[in-house]
Amino acid sequence: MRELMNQLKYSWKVLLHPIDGYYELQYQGKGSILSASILFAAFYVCEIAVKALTSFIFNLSGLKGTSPLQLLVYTAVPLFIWMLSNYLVGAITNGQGSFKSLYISTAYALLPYIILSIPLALLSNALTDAEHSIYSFFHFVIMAWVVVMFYLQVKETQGYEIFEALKNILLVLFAAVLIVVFAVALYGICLQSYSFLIEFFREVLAFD
Amino acid sequence: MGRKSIIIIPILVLVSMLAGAGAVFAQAPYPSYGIGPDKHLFRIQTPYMPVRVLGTKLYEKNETGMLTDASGLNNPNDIFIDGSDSIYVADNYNNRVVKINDEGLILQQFGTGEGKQKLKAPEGVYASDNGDVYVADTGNQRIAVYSADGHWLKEYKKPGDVSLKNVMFAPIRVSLDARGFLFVVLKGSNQGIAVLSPEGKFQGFFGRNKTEMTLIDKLKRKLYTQEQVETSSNQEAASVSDLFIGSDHYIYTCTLNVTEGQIKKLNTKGEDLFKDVDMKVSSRFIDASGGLSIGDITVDSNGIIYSFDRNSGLVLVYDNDGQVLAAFGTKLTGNNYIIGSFGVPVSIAVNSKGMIYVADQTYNGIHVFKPTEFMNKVLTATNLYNNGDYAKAKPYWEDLLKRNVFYYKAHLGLGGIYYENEQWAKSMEEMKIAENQQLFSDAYWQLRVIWIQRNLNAIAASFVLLAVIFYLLNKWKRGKLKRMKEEQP
Repeated sequence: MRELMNQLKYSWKVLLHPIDGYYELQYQGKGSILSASILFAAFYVCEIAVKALTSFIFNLSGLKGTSPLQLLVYTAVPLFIWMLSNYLVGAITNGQGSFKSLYISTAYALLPYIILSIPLALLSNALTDAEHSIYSFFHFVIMAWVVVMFYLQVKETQGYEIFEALKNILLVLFAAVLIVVFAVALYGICLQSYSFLIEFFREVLAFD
Repeated sequence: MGRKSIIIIPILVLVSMLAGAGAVFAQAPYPSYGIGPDKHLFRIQTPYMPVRVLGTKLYEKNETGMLTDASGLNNPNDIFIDGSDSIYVADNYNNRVVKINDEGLILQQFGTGEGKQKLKAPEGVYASDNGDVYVADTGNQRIAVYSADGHWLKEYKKPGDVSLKNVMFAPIRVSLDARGFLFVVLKGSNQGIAVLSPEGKFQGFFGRNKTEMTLIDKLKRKLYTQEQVETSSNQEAASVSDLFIGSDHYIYTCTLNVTEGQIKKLNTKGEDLFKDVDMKVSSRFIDASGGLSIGDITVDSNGIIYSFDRNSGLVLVYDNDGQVLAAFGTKLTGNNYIIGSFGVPVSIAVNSKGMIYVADQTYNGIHVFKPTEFMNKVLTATNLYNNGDYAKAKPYWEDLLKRNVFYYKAHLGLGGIYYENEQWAKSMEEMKIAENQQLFSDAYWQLRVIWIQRNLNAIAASFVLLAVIFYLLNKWKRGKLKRMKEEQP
């Protein structure tokens, strides 16, 4: 329990000194599967809270037209594909990261959003459309910080050089697209073969 | 009890029959829609009831006052309704213009005589305030003018202006502005509407559509040589299909098969007030794949715009700001000839009672619709609201919401009224339901000003408090560091 608290407290270090932070996450066991999972859960809660709390001016639909399950799928699936393709690309380009370390470091890369998105959502309630630029600015800051964190995550966890990391991120994104295409194709084939089997048995066994 | 009901029921049936067609139909035989903030159509109660298809048979009064049959409409092309609700029809194949009343009785015929007054396949008609009738005499390539009693007055031929040299002068629509200048839509002309002075002098083109450039066109323009650009097709601006000059002196035009600017509200300088308005509607109910194709347009004295979409067979009623108030009707399928199922709708007009007339060439007649109580309330509320009569408009919007909670225009109207009455919180509530972020924000801005004014002291006090706390914290931190430094060596 104490160890877990220390692992979560370590978030500050990763947030403010990401290069050292990721290094120690990777090689000194400062994070664990459990702490990472808690951060993922916090990210999911933040997603819902942002939709529920952000002012109507910046948030047309709110929680209408979505469900907790849908949001879960929309957050979990892209993150999982990111981790998977990151791992697969790393495996063929001399990356140092194991799947476990990628799982942990990805969770810590979401920290800026986890910490700042809810305060921004609350702040938005004090703003009108005239101050739209203020809201957009902070929103941009959070997103840019997350992007930087993701970049450093790949770089430090896999042990890449600066440009090697950029190149690998492009490869990872390409692999992610391939994974999605493959998954859709597989789904289609499964659907086809299912209906084929049904038709087949209907013909052969004449059962309705 | 049994005996009483035997008597009562036939009486009820009789009463409902006497009350006219509108009372018998609970629901019109065509679908009706409202439109949401996301431009999606949803079903609402019938805004317009079917009345009849007019003009397939016409009647004449002979000298003795007896009614006799006259030949019905044949390929009607344009209709116009004057101030006394008489209907003028450009009866294309019959080479005439007829002025009829609501029952199909011919009041006057134009262009049936010989010589100069003879019409040839007229496609457009307009009646000026003093009763003169202007006919777009397409086959004779002129505008012919008749007096109210059918006498030929004058004609406007193609003006001898150099800018009209390569233009075919085949008028299909004509209208007059308050100065008596003629606005003429020419067949297949993409230069815009030709404007003629009352003396017939050419004044220039007006309201020309811009060329729609797709991404491919832009790319072609970059890559092609000058010669290729000039010879490649698909570069022409769409031609205006109809115009209407409203009592507010705006010039309304519409255009077929364009992706934007389907309806334009032009001022005398030619600036489009609907430049930023999205006219599109989208729905799973109708085939909107072809986009909106507005064939004809008319505007009532309050600035309400009536038009129809040729692709989906929808009659569309827009308010002064170009927002859809109601839509109804469908496309004719097979031989299912029912009023409100449009074959080839060509022209639309509205009379002083708000009744809508849509000329349809497949029927060789005119579909006539009557607004229901619901639609009358929508129109009354919209007009009161636009005239700034908020107190009177409010009960109408509230009543409409009781009839249809999804009618979002009513929320928008109520929100606006609350805003005018400085009930900011209530206005925000309505604007949120109407999904209008801008107007919600406007109301919230006012609310925030009040909140800040009320709590100015508290806000100032908390700022001072925060400053003090920061100061003390800093001091304490420095003291701590100093002590640590002192301890270290």
